[in-house]
Amino acid sequence: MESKTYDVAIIGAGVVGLLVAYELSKFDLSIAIVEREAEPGFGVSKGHAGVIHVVQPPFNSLKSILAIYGNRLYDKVSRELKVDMVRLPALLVARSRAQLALIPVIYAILKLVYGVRGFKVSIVTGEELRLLEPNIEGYAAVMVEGYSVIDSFELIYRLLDECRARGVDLLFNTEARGFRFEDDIIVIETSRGSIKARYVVNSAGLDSDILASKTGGSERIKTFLGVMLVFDTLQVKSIVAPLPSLRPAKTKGGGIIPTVWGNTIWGPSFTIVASREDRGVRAEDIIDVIRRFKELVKIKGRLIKAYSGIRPSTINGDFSISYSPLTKRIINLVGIESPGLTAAPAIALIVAKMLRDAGLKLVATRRAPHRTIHALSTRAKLALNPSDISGYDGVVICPCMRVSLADIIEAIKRGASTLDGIIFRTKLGMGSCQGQHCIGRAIVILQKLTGASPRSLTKNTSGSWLVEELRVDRVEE
Amino acid sequence: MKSREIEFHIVGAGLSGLSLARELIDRGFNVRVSEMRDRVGGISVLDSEVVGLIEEISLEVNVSLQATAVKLGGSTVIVSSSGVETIDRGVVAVGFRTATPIELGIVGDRPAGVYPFHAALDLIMSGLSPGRTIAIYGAHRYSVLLAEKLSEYSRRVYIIDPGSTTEIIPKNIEVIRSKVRVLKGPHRLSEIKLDKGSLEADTLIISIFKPWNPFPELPPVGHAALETYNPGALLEASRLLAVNLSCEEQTYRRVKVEGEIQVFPKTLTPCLRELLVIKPGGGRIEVNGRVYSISGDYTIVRAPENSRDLRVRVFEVWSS
Repeated sequence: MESKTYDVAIIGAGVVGLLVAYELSKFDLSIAIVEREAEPGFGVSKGHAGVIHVVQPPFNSLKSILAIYGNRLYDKVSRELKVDMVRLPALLVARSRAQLALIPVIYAILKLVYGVRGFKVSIVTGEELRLLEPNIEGYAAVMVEGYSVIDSFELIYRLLDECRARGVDLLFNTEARGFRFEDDIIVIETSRGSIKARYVVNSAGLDSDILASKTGGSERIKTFLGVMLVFDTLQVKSIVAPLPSLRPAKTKGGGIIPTVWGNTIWGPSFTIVASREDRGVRAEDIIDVIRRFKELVKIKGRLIKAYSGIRPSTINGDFSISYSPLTKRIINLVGIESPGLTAAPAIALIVAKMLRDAGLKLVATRRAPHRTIHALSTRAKLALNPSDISGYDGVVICPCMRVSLADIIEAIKRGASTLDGIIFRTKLGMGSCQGQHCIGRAIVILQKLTGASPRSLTKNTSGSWLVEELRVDRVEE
Repeated sequence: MKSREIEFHIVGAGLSGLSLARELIDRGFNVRVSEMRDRVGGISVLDSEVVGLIEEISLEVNVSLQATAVKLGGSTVIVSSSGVETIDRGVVAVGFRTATPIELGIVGDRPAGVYPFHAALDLIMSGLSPGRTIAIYGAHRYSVLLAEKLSEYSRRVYIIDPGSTTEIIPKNIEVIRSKVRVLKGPHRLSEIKLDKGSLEADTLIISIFKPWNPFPELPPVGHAALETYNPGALLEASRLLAVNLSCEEQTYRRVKVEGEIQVFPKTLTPCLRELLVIKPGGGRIEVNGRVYSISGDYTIVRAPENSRDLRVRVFEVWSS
């Protein structure tokens, strides 16, 4: 496929792989990202709630340390990449008089654990709570500051654009299957031929353990499923969760989470699943999430969607970031699950340091930082200056999220080749009506603009065909 | 013909929006219809009983295609390639909302091949088929029309009926009476699990509809207000709203409804002396103490005069 030898090949274009590439692209290196899917962020990265976390239990785990480090890096990351991010607090709410009595205890514990790591903890009285969150029913709350919610789709695509602008080669529809060694060159065997690199970063998400095992890695992944519910309006201004009980809980609690684009997410639930393919939303998980939060919040808006995300967890539950037992020139990132989004910028810095320690020369690039100009979306134009709207900006395809033909054209120009690629870039169909007025028309536009044959269009992965020609003589029975 | 300065702006060029436009034009108003799609007709486009009427009216009425109503800072505006304009007197004729899988209790995978009715219709109108083996969830006039259209192209079509429709369904279309529970297929839909058993299909077209007005500050007409599958009832609703809208005196009598019936409109100006009462299958209703019969799906009731508010309630249900 490529006769070129890259300095670094990164396997997996999720948020971790992209942030590693973004970090390394600041140095004078030739970099490739090898991705199985047609577009970035279609794996583990698409199934979370977009929260930047603070401390994670257990508090001395690598996860927790990297979450704190990553959290602090996010102001810079979101500013540099111009990604929508809102800092907000989390409120742990007491819903009964019995829980009210626990507030001082929980406050004292959290102050010890969170406060010492730089996150402010305070008590919110019932009266203050009603002012802060009129939809929340509770007696009082413990407030932890330092969380944020981010447009994680925008983050993925800004990273993609930025990596591309800095000369990173993006090899999509290319599945890495194994490695060969030729002197000090690593040959990655892929579904589309071999790719040569001097160093390899395995950030393959769900399948990172399988890839790591090809060069002696022993970590194994077990999978957990998280189900999230989406409402079509904002219900809260902070992340809101029930006050944790003092008993050690096996399950993570999730919360009521406002998104930057005006929806509310409840969840996630937390269930172990048998296989990596098993990502279906189960009725029990939905009931579980509703039961957990329905007493806490006055439900505003309509429940419009349930979706699931998969957590690739290691057996001991912590992140595993290590050199391959065979060579220091392969770094395996295994078990990067929640809070992986939070930790990703910190992981990128650690990977850069590990590569340097393994002998890769990191010399700051002398290329001028490339400026990517992002077209203002129709939604933004309508909010800022409606008199700017004309032409394709005025042809609205998704009225709920105010996505226009111009937005779809821009998404395709920036590499969207699938329906989800358009949806994740533009938020088409993510509003109240869930695609009724836009999905069909977006598929027609995608087909016309790309000139692809109808049967080759996909929702996301290669088996997810969307349509075929409506012709009597073409039906294959 | 009287000419008045007031311009009515109707959102949606389906059967209801267009018939309301004609009613208002007949009363001397200057009317404009905005349609977000690049065609008129909405979900009636496959309905041979009304397409002629739709075409006829669309030639008489000022219709802007690809002009979409959106909410902007608390008010409703029309966005088109020529810019953004505010509307003074609007009417919402945007049609039904398709129920989402989650509100129908459908869980499982989220594969390709699950389409809301309108999206499937958009594909078909552009010469694309939503799939090969197609299950349409919902049994009514529009789902039957869609099923017939897809059958013309040799698609294998099933209608899954969650209730017990009285709609006459052609013999070549298999009807399954059940609710859809779980979807299977990691990439493309492969199996639909039902209450009893399951169905192998690559496509599910969700065709369970709810009346919905996304712009509640504007009065709704047609499917934005009413769940009916009878075009006659839609035409009557447009006529009654036109009487209300054209009334010089904008004072209202309110209509209170008790029981499983739909009444339109919910407020009456002094000009409007009629009410549309929808009760599929028929029955008897009582309006301020007087009893009326409904044969068929709906009736027009003469509203009693000399009373403030109106009370409409179910008197007797005729078992169908």
